[in-house]
Amino acid sequence: MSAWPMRRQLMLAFAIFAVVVAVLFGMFAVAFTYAVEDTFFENALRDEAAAQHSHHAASGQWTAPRSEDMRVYTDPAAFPADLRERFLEYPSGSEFAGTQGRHYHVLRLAPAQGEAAPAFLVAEVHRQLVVRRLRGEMLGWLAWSALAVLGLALAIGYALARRTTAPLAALTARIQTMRPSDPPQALADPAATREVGVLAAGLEALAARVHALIRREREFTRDASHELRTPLAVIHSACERLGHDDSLAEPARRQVEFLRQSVWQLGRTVELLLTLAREEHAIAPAEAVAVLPLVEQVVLEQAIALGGKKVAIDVDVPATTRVHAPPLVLRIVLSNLIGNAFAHTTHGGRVRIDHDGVHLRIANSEPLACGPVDAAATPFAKGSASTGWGLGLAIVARLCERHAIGLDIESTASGTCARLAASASV
Amino acid sequence: MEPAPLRILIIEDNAALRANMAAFLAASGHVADFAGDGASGLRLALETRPDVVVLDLGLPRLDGVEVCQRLRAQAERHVPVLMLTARDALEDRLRGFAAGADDYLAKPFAEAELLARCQALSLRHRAGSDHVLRIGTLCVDRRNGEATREGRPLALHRTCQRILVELAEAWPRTLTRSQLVERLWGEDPPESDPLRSHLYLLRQVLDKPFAVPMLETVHGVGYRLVSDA
Repeated sequence: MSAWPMRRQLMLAFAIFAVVVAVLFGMFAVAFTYAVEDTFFENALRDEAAAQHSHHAASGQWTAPRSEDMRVYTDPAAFPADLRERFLEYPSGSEFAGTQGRHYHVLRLAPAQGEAAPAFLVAEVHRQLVVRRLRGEMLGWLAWSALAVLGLALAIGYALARRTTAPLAALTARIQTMRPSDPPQALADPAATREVGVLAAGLEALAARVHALIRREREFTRDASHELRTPLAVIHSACERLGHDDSLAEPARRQVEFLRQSVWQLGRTVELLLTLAREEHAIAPAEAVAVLPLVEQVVLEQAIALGGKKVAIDVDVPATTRVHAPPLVLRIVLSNLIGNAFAHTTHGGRVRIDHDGVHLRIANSEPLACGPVDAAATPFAKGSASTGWGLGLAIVARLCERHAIGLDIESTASGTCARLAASASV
Repeated sequence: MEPAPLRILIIEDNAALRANMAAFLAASGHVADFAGDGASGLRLALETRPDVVVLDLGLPRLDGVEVCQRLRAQAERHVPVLMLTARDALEDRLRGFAAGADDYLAKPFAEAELLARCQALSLRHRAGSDHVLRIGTLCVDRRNGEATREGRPLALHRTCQRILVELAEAWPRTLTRSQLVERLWGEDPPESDPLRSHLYLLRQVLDKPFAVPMLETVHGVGYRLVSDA
């Protein structure tokens, strides 16, 4: 797409066309003038040749031409030196440029067959070269005319472009003020051309559809949030109540803990899905985020995933490290990666979170249980110890991809390491 | 001695959640009143003078935002409001804060976090009236940082006093290392782990002479005070 406005493009097209036409017609005019001048000399030579032929037929001799600028030569060797040189190079030619401004026209005189050798009628015409004297002035006039035509073309182009593009410019201005959250506004202009009217109607319909989509997205995410979170809160609260019930037998207590972990996982999945669905997150601007405070906060929030396991947590992130990312998105991604690491580390294990200058690494001492590393970011691939549905990492990967945050997960027998690469911020 | 039990008004339309919260708050020694809709919730908030109102956003009869706005307009004093809601869109949160909410907690939530936020809100709004913070046997004067435990004065230097005041004001919540550093030294902290030596000194005075330690490290990233009562 050209960055130039249409008005400027139209004016440029008019200007180029005007210049091309002016140059072309200027060349024709100069060529025509030279052609007329040459015809004049050729006619004069032919008149003189006819007189010479008549005289030769009567007397057997060539006579002195009537014009003092013409001469008859019986031998090219007698030509003036500058003409002789050119003539020998191109004997069939009839017009030759000499030195010091001289210019020659040559016509062969052919006496009656077998009577005498041919002769040459030579006219040196530099004094009659009118075009040569007028050439500078003529080119000047042509240049000025071309400039005038160019100016006229630009003026006409501007007026026409303005008239043609005004409805488009008005439409562009209206579209630039539109916001997805605003109700759709009328874009069609009765004064616009048919094409612009069709375009405006199409955009109007599109804007109405986008607005309806956004409204539905908001209603859906709001309803989904409410309808999913409320029962989750009830189950979570019931699990906590049961967890504090001393009369509960150990097997039942374990089941309650499974339930509590599952509710926690479901809560995170709901949050992730809503984050992906919400338009406000899709356009969230990136900003410099201090990593250490965020990691510490997330560790505290996600400690619930440890479920009472004794896990060593080692955070080694320089206090000065900042990355460029949308803060809420980064928080959700970290919550899921750190929460996953906590949930999948067994009692006595270790979770280490550090920054190597490029990547933020979240590593634990357990191999990834779902098999190949790529499977971790595949929907519904899940580890055997997972209480989730295998969607978490796939959604995190999509969220990272949307916001240009690099994510790769490496799993070996000694543990799993998730590496996040958001551009560093100075 | 423990701070006085809180009187908490829960305005929540989900009966099961209300019942669970009632059991939890009663078990924690607090007094709870309940309302199942916005109109009766507003009436109770104005009549019973609760320490904190936990207010659901989506309520029948009167929306949570409307309840908050009317409470702010009609109450004679500032009643701290914690919005408890299943709607967590930015727009909903901003509406809640614009209506005068003091804090926001999304469902599902941990009971301990709900209680910690309620206590923090009530402490924040008693800030002007009570200069001495009491956590178990620990008393901290927020004006000068002087502290006693079991009635014995604690000999703390200035930075340790400030750390103790910050932790006491945050109690029972956890402060992360970064939050503590930022509150103590702002944007220009000393180099090389400034907290380590100060926390060591604080523990020597606050915990070592006593049977029950009060300063707890939380998952290696934060610190909190735990009551010894």
